[in-house]
Amino acid sequence: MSYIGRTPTGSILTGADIADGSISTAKLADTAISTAKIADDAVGNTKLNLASDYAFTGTITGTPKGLTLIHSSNSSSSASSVSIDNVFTTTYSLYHVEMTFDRDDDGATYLRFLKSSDGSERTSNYYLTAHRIHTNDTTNTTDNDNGVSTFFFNRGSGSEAGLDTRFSCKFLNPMGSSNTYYDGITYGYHDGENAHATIRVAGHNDTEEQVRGIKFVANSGNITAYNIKIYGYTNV
Amino acid sequence: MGTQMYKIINGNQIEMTTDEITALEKDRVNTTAEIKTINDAFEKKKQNTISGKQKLKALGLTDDEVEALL
Repeated sequence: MSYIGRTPTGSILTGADIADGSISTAKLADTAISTAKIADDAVGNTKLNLASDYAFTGTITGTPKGLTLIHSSNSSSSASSVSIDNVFTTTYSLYHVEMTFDRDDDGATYLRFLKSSDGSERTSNYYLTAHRIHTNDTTNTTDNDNGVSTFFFNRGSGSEAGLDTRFSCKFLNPMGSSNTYYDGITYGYHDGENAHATIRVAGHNDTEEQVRGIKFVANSGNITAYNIKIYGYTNV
Repeated sequence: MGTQMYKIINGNQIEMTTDEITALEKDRVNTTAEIKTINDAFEKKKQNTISGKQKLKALGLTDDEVEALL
């Protein structure tokens, strides 16, 4: 540009020279503000509504760890058995079970695996050790059952039927090519002992096969109600 | 048979067939025999504990001393 007389002296444009609202968002290039120009504390948590829902559609990389709920069911209908089928997959190698249930007599309750090959019950080669403690005395009793047909883990509450029995356990490697391992704890009332009983068991099935589910069976009478949740351990 | 029996699979109550009931009853007989073996062993240990305590008390040990040993 040409001037008449003296060339004007240049001066630095300051923030005060820019009128509020004179630069619209559209005039800013996508890369106008680099990451380095954003202060670490530029976005405080007061600028994020933590009560809002945010739709995340990206992929989480790395190795997330934790429990994933893979089965939840409950019933207050009576039945001689409760099966949870097709719950074990190759996605997880370790599973956690949380369960409460009621029985209508004081008979045994046992647990079997369901074979992956055809869904039938595995009826042999169960090995387990059990430690029982009753709240009415200080007797500690240990049992070992070798090569039996089930995992025995509980007796019903008898005349005190209606009191929940709590059962919590883990299964390792059900869909692997080797043995499936199991450890669990049961706590419930038994009127024959006139006490609550804690039964801690650990064992395995000595058959190298894949199992896809579990079946709880009342050795007499019925399971009158249950509530079960099964979780898979991610990246253990 | 006369009495209806049910099974639950993944939360669904299903009436059992005659063959399934027969198989269950046969299975219950077998498992009852296994349970008897387990319970007999349990009762034997329990009785041994009781008789052992009595013998220790007869030797002059107090209840607290007996409990501490077991």
